[in-house]
Amino acid sequence: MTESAKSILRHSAESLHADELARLQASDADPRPEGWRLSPRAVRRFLLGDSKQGIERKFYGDDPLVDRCIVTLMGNQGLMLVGEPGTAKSLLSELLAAAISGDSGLVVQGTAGTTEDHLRYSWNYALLLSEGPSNRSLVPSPFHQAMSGGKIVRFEEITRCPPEIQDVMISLLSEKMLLIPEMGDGARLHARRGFNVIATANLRDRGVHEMSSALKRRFNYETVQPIKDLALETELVQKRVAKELALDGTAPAGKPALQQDLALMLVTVFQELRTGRTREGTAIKSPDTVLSTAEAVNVAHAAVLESRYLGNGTLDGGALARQLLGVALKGDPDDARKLRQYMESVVKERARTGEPWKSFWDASRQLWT
Amino acid sequence: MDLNLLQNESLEWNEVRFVPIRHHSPACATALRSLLEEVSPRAILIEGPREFDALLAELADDRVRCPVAVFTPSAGEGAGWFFPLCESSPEWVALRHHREQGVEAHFIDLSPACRAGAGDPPSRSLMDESRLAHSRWVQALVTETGCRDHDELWERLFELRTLDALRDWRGFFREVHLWCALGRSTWDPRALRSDGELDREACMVHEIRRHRARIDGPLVVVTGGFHTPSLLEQLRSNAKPARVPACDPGLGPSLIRYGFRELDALAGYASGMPSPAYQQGIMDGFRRGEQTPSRRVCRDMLLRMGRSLRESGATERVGTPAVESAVVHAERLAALRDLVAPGRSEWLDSAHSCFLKEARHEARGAFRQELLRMLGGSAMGDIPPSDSSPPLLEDARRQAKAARVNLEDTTRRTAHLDVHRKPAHRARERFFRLVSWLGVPLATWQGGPDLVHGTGLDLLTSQWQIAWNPLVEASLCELAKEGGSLQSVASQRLAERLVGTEAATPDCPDLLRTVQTACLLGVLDRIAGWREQVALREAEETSFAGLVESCRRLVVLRQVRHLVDFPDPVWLDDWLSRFWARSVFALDALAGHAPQGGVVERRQETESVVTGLLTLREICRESSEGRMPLDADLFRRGLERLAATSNTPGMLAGAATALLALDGRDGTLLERATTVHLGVGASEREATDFLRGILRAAPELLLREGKPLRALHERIGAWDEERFLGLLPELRQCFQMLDPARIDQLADRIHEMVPGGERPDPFAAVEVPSSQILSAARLESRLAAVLDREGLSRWLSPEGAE
Repeated sequence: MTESAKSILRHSAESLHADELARLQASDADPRPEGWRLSPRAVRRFLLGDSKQGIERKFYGDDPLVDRCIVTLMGNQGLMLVGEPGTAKSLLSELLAAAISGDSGLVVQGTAGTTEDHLRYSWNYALLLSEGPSNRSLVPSPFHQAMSGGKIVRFEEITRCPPEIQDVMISLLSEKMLLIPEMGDGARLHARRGFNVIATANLRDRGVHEMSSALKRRFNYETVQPIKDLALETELVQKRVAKELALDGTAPAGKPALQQDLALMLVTVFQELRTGRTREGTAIKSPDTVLSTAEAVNVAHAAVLESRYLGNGTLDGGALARQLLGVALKGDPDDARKLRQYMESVVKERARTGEPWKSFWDASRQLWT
Repeated sequence: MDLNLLQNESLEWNEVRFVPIRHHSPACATALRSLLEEVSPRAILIEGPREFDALLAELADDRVRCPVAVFTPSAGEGAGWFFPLCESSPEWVALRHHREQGVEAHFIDLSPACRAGAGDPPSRSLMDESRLAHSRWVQALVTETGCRDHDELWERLFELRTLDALRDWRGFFREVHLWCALGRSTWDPRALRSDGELDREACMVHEIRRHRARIDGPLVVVTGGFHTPSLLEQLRSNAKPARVPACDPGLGPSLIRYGFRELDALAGYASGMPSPAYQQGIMDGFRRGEQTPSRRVCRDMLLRMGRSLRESGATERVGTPAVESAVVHAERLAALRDLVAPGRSEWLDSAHSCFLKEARHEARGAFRQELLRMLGGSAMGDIPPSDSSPPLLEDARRQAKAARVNLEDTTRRTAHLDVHRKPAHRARERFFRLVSWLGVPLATWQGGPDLVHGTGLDLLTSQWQIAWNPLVEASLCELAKEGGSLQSVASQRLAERLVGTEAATPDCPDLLRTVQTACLLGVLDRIAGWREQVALREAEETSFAGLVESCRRLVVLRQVRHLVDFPDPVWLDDWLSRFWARSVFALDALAGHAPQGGVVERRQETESVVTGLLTLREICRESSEGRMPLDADLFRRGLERLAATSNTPGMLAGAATALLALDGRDGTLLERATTVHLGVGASEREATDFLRGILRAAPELLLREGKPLRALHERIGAWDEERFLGLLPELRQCFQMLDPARIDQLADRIHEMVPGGERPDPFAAVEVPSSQILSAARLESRLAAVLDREGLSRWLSPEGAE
């Protein structure tokens, strides 16, 4: 990575894993669908890892889901990833786009302000006035670019767009063609092979703008679930925190940034609050706030930074508790009550078993009072 | 464990060829067929309890249609055991070969009744394979390969092979053996011993040696792959053979019809493969010579699923393009996963991806049900009637067919029976009632006229949930110990119930309850005898409660007689008149009878008498509406005598007075009685008892009639505080018989009698500030400390206070 590249805050997947992609491409002997840079099996290896080739696993918890996503993208249907916030939907879509098209940057972010121009094209008005409608004066949208380049376009949070904007997608997905009437009767852009759409929708945002059944029919739905396996999620959180710290250049030398017992405690807390059930099987009240793996990584990352820059350099349960409350409490008094109840019934009990629960309980108790 | 050694291990010992299988696996069944054709064994030994040999002829009958099961009833309280067989069971292939080629076949396993922990079977299937599925080695492999579970991994490794690959049975079974041996290697032998697995294997080894010594030529042993490594090791070893536990196998096994629903490992029976309807399709394909039948089965099932979802409207409209794309999706998934054809997991994946337009965990019930229906199926097998089949089972099947129960399908259905108008529906309901009473899980009453308690008789239809399934057949097999027909078993049980009553001889209510049940069940063979007994016992029945209960049962029977096609109502009317008259005359005895025992016993006795009075009044009301041939005046005169007798217990007098007042013949009766029982001179206890009687019999009277309430109000007003507080619990109990709305009305009435002032709001919360509560608590604890210091803490206990 060059010095200028190092200063970039967040790299795209194809840039971050350029080396792996190149190796996969070089050794890829399996048949490739037209327009794909890698064969479906190589895409699978890119996401799920391959120890023989030194490819790291990037998506955890549901291998058959990855298979289904790849197969969907080989067909005419778009891929719709739905799930709770923070379940790595965007990560999955980015990785798929990077592996299939070598470009994960063709993204439309769905918002209430998304307009038709974001999906079709707009104009450079200075050139438009001077030269009239031409390829030079046309400003292509990510969709336009994906269609002309035979690539995957990502549509994030599609249900946040108004229905009339969602409807624009129907013709794009069924006709695979974009009319440009300003450039004459015959001006149309036919999508090249390799074009497809990966959309994501957040289950918490449902009802903002429900999708029409016409649009739903053009997608295959895949649900991304939170990771249920405690050991797997713990391992993942540790790896991600180490990676974040490596990117920051603050990774400690010689020891894990987030020790096993602390990681296990943090993930246990997240899983218990997420599922509404303790590891002993007792039902507890689950807060409405998002408690995803990504949030757990954020909490751990922030706690490590806090102990490094504001504390004595040793991470303990207390720093995790302080960061957790910052993440979990987002102004909802109900959530605060549920979290406090959890702390006082579950964490307090476990604090008797010693560290790291003890420092976690001590710190959280101080924050409540 | 040496993998190379294991891979090359011969599955043969002394011309005995071992076939490790997974139960109900189409791949194992197909490979076994090839093996049997090539090896042509002299005998086939099958993992199954030895006593099943008695059923070999029955199992070989051409008319047996799978799925069927051999059912072994449990000698004790627990449920019995099932040994299910379907077309894709390797055991079934072995049995077919035995029939077609005339080779010997024997079962070699230990009887389930002799196994360790037999009293409390963890699984009711004799083909439990959960050990392999839960083996640490298999679980690790599942994680490593990214499969969802053991079933998906097994399918990828063994089921998704071409027919030609399966015909190479040597290679196939060697791999199955390797899989099972590694799976077994992570189990602690102590756990296997305590669960009785080692005893079973000792028995199988013993049987294999015995048959080996007896028969010349090749033998084939078909067992679950989990046992094969141990069997081979023991046979090859020179060690002394393990002892086979000896025990009585108990009751004989029966061949019964089985269902796909119960065969499904996913349904919780933990036997064999999941999704039997799917496996049946695969097995049919292999038999027809298809190389990869799963491809056709997946395509057909996607087409049917699409059509079915379209018709049911369970999800977003599933059009033809979606079905086409699902078929392609499944094929591509198989290619990506390096499989010869799409299998069950690919089918499930493509159905979810292409048909479901919402989050997976939100899939509506209809979608899930459709998936399970497609994969699991609900068909039932069939067996021909035979000498060894219990006669009761055949009788029940004949009656069930007559009652229009579908014996081919295990799906639960609701039958709506027009019992008022259609004799055929009444006959069906009688059958359902009979099996339900016998505890056979065939029919469950959902609603309609309640013929036992005589309620809801004006409802038009009766609803029953019906499903004929293997549990029904198993239950009937267990009943077969008691008799040859449902009716004879029911009749026997009714007779036994009478003998088993607590009293030395059954009294009239017991006898009449038996008669009533017999009539409802249509079991009339002993009814004449029971009627004679009633006639004999009638004179001996003197208790008021017994007479009223007898009366009530006869009334219910009379009310429902047209719904049960009861044949002889003449004696019924005669009995009813007699019991009615005797019940009413028994009232006279109550008038002068003071209940015995302590306060609680006395009250309970009086309460039960009042309940009897109310029952009689209810019967009387029915009679006055022309439904009963009873003399209502008789009852009224009895009540009058009861109310007028001075030493009648207060509560009884109150109830009798209230019931008479309700009739309205004597407008001043209540007022007069109130003056007597609540007026000056009456004891407080007597007054509250009288009040309790009124409220128990006719709570609305106190609201309707002003004078009794005023008398009560004045009476209570005359009590001093101590007396009032003493009786307060009694009063509270009395007024609890009124509902809250009536209590509120009553409070209004009483308030009107008090001049001036507003009625306090009963719902107004009394607010005591928490600071006041806290200071009171502190004061109390300081006081307790002082008393304790002075040695006076006993003052704080209730005994000390007295």
